[in-house]
Amino acid sequence: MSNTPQTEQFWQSTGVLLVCVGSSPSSARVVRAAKRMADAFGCPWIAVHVEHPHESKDNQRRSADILKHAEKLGAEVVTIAGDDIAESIIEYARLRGVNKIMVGKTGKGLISQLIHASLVDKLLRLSGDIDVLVVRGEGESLSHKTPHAKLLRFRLNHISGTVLILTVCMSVSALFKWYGLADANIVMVFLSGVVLIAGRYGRWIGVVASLGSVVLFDILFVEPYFTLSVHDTQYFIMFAVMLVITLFVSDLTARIRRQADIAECHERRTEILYSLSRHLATSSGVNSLVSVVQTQLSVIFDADVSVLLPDNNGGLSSSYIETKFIQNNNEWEAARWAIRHNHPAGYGTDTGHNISGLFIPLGTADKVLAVLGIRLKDNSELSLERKQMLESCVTQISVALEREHLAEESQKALLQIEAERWRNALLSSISHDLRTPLAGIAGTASALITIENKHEKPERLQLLENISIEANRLSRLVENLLSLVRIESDRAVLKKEWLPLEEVVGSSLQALRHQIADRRISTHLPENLPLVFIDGVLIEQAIINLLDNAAKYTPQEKGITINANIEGENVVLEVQDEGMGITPEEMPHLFDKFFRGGRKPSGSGLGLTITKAIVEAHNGCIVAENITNGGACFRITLPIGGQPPLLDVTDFETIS
Amino acid sequence: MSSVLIIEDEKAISSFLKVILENKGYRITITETARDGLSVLSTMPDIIILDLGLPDRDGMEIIPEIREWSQIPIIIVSARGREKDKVMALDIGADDYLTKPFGAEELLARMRVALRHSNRFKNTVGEESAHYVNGGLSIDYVARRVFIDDREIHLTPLEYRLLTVLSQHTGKVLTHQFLLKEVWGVKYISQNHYVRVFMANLRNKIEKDPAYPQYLLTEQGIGYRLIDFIEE
Repeated sequence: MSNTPQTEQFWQSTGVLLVCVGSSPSSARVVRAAKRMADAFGCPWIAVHVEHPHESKDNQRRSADILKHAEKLGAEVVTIAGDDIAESIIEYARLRGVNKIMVGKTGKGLISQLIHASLVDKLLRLSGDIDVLVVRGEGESLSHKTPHAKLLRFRLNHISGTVLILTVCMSVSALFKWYGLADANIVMVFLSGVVLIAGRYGRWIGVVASLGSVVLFDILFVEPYFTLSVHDTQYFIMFAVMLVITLFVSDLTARIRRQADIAECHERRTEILYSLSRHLATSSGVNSLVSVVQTQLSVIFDADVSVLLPDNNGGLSSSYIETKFIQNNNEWEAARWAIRHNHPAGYGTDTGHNISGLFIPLGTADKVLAVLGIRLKDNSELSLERKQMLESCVTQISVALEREHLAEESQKALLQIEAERWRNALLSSISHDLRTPLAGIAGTASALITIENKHEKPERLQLLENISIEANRLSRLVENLLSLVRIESDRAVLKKEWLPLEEVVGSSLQALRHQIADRRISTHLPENLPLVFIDGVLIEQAIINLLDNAAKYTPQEKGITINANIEGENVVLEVQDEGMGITPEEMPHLFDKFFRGGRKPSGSGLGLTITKAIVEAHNGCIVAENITNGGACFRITLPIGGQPPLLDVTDFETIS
Repeated sequence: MSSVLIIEDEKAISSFLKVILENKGYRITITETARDGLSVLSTMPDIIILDLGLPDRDGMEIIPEIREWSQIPIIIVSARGREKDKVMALDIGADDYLTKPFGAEELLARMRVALRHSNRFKNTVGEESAHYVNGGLSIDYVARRVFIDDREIHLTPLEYRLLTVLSQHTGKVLTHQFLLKEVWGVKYISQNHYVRVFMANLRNKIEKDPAYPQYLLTEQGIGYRLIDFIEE
């Protein structure tokens, strides 16, 4: 890369970084370098491994490890299948809008250098406007040793097949020679044989076969017979041509076979996923979903599968399913860990000691809805390919589970709304049916009082007034009971607004003006009290109850004081009287339902209970205490509720 | 004397209303359904007492129907005690709202306020009185000056406008919505805290103890009322 404007552009742009992951240990270092770079630019990064069906088990495992490492470092991990690594990477990079590709270079060994150089070169050639970064790897490349070992491992049937074909070639050639056909025809026979061998058994047997053909041809059909000596250089050309064709054909067939393998593998994967998704789509309800997952996955992976659902108590339940392999606490612990951390646990992970089976959380990034436990029947670890297969399945199952979960939630919400509506209807019909006759009684009494001759029959008037007073008391009790039920059953009933506390105190005093008309009332509210986020009607009710209480339990000549001030994030309101205070026996029961102070049982015994319920519905608290110079003090603490809204009207001048 | 139309299906309520009101000299007509009530309206009563839970229709529905052609004062008497219902009834044109059970005196006082208001409306169409006096509060609408106990107080333009709107409806509950629309304009109709903040300022200037007001009363969850000293 040059250091001129292009470089600058690279450093400035964010975009997406792609890092190529192979099986060599140096890949780990490349991955770390990529992580540092992605961090530095705050860009997302993708670790890509190009899958090879003929990759050795060891290499597959190493690649998987490195990918796992990358995932832990925060990369998106992707495996793509393709025959040509460079082409596949560039194609994928364009698809994802990647603007930088990072690839490692390994320095050991001529062959590895040659192979690597070709990958890097090809990437550079194909990359176009994508930046390609080559970083130094470290350590020895292991990935190119295995092919050497492998090429020597001829299979027995390959050798016998080769021998058979060459024998047939020899026989046909002998026949040709017998009929006196030209050497070129014999060469063609051998060439056909070699092409057949290369196509069927691969490159290295093809090379051996072409060498063998040349030797056989030389010995059997070229003068002097039965020697290896050659007088004519044309046979070297024949050998070279055969070799080239062998290499070409074997390479071609190998490539075709590899692609066929990959295609087959993908087709199988797609088929399985399609069938799974079809089954998931037709299942309804979590239980049926769970059983679908269990049967499908155990067939696909030939494994024991369990789906564990978290229960309401933070534990796990598996009531619907057999848990064949979850036998001891280790497995349960792994499952719980997976749910708690929303991360796979168990066999094949970091947290996999002594645990048979892998536990994968199902759900979204924010919420785990279940955990999938899987253990292969042969107790082995999943291959890379099957791991990816499992991941795809997990994604599908998670989507289906989330769908079920959302359906359940909305069903629950619907039920709640229904219950709410029903309760409200019940409450309002009760309140209507209680209020109306009480209104009749109270109204009739007051009508009679109005028309009664006040001077002739004072005792009749007294009786009528008793009816009126008692009817009103009964109606207050009804109101109190209904509002207590409302507040206690549903906090959502609060209709909070930004209010000046002073206004609520004022309206409470106004509502009780008849009861407190002859008393000394003093209010001490600081001028700079902020607006408070409260339900005015309910807080008014709370203050009324406190004032009413003070008026009821203290003699007429005693005063009542209301104080307010700010304490941190809260506003504190006190209602003080100058009475006898609260006795130690009364103190613990003050806020109990239907508790009345012993001295003057005229109330309903619900006032303080309601006040407490209202204050607690506002996330506030209420305390009662005796003050030093006599009298009781009720102190309400309410959260102010944040920053009050601003006014955008400028209106500060007075009219002159 | 004034004529009263009572639309109420509960006999216990309508019969005691009849006794009280006739005792005070009102002329009474009682109907038990909305349909009958609307048909009697052609006799032009001076005031309507309306129950909301009527057998044939909801009383709430017929308020706007009456308001389409008449400003006859309407007082709601209902067992529905929720602020939501009160605000709704007032906003669609009711003059006052009493929750059952209510006292006879309270009803009579509210009726007098409503009738006085409607008489003033009838008598002085288009020409407001230049001077307003209510208890210790007096307003000179021409000079735009406000006095409390003969001491002049200085208001900002919006405070003054708020006070004049309240004074023009003395004794009647005005909803937050109504005040916001009248003083600030339709744009501010959902900004309840505006009217609350300005009302607090106004109280600080007018009331001796703003935390125990004598003039500017709060109907919690509904709105405000400038007290009518003749009644209280």
